[in-house]
Amino acid sequence: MEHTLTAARVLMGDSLGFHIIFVLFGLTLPVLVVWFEYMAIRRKDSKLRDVAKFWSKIMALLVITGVLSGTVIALQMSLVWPGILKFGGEVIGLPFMLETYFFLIEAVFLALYMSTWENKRVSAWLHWFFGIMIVLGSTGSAYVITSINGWMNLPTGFDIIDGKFANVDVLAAMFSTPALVTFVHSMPGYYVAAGLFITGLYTWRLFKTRKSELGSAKHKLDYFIVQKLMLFTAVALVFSAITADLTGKYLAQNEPEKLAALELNYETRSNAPLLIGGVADGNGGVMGPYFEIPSALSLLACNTPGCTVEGLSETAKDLQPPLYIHTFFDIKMTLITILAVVVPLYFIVRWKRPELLRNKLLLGGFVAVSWFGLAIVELGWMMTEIGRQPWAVRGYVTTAEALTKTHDVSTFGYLFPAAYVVLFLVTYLAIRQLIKQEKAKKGAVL
Amino acid sequence: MLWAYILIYVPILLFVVAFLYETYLSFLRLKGPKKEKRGYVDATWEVTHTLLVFGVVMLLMLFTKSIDRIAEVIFISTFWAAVFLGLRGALYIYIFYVRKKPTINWMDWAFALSHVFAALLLVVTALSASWLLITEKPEANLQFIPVFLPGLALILAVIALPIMSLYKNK
Repeated sequence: MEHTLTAARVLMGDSLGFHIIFVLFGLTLPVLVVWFEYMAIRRKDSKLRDVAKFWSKIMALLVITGVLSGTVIALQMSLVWPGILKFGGEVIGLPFMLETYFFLIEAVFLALYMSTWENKRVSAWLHWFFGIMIVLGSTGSAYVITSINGWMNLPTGFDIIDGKFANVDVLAAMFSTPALVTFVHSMPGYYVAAGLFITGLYTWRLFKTRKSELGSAKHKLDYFIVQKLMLFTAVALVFSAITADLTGKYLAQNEPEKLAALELNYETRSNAPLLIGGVADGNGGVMGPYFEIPSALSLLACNTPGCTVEGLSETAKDLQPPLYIHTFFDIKMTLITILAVVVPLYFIVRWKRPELLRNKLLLGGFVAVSWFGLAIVELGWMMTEIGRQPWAVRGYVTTAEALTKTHDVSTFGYLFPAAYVVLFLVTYLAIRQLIKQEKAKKGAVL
Repeated sequence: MLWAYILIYVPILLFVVAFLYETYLSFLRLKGPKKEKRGYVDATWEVTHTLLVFGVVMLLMLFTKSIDRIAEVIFISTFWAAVFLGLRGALYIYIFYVRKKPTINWMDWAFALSHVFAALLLVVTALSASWLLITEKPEANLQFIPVFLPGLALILAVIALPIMSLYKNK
């Protein structure tokens, strides 16, 4: 049983870890593509239109991959973990059904958008509208799926009377606090991750170019794109910071054991410090190098240094989340802190010393941090999901109880990760080929 | 209850028609790749896939009270179908995005055959699930239907014209 459970958890973890990369690009690229197309229409700039068109090809490719990996996850949720829906299907089944609305909109308008770039009967603004519909479809889909995850973290919208569901309120479950908090925090996170990564690709091109050629018309376009992408990333980063604060307060109030595990806060106390570094020693202590910021955890939890924050001691030992998520949190916060310096630095340099943007060291620095957003998203979701353990539906169904009792998933546990690697490789090769084709074109935007 | 079956079987039937057409095209292109349209569907690929997802989601979400029984019956065929759909997806990306020369080799055969295996396994899934619905008559989440249908009507109205235009111009 333990082996099967581990295999199923690994399978789910692999699937989500792989899928989320495609999700974050699948959510961000439509926004960026319609933004660039909007600028192209307003400025009557064919180059910007070509940029939007090129990125829309990557978007379509990543959506194909995302749909494949997403389908596997949907099947796992139902077939590998039937206990989740067996328990809560009456409440949370509807959002799954509603996702098909958004899925249909996204699929149809993506196909239409891609096939009408050069259609003379479709006006520029109508084509742009098709793009907006893709954004609506992908964002709506993200919301309903996040709402299901939020519900698993804090099940709401029902009462249980005599062992049966009563007073079921599907809308309350769909628009619950965790659903809203997770959505408003994860979306800017995806935008930061994808925006920064694409900025990194353009900066890498500039980094590889001879300094004397950096002033050419071709690279002016690159600089323009970098500037717009950095603006996009900076705005998303600000929203991400604001919503991170909301998330901290939400956790303190509703999922205190998760916050306690993230911060290795063993005892319930006021003036709780924020622990940076160190790992759990297994005996209720911390080992390794670490330092504490006095009262910072209390401040994060409820805006006052004297506020009392619940510790791990309030939760039974066997119901505590794995404490290694503290290390994930530390790494995540370190990466965010670096980004909080680098992103404003770009704007300061651009404002005060724009010539420095040709400096190889600076360009190299931007390239070096461009993958941080992807790592932050992965770490964030690992903290959320592992931090809910041992529960699948917090307080009601454990992960072990949710697992299918009729089939051993070990075979698929090996098969699917291998398939993901193949899919990842093929997608990478396909993107490389699209870039090569674009570069070979007359008037290429790359 | 009739609506529950309509929501499950109509998209599945539409998927079967569209998927059979794609299977036919995947074998047709083995005679020699066409330069134009690459001899295979492009734009409607995801729409076809969405129909399958729609049908399966309806089956699973409308019968969540019996999901463990349904999962037990369709587990193996559905997961193997997912494996072949994944293989088909990876080969699709390789053949139409990565490969430079318009040639026909074992990958194109694997691509065409992956359609057949996925289709056969999905038929097994559909038949097993149907047999369970007929023999065990599980209780459905019918409370979702009055909420779901008006929205679906609106969505279908929004996508009707685009979808017609897509398939007409394919």
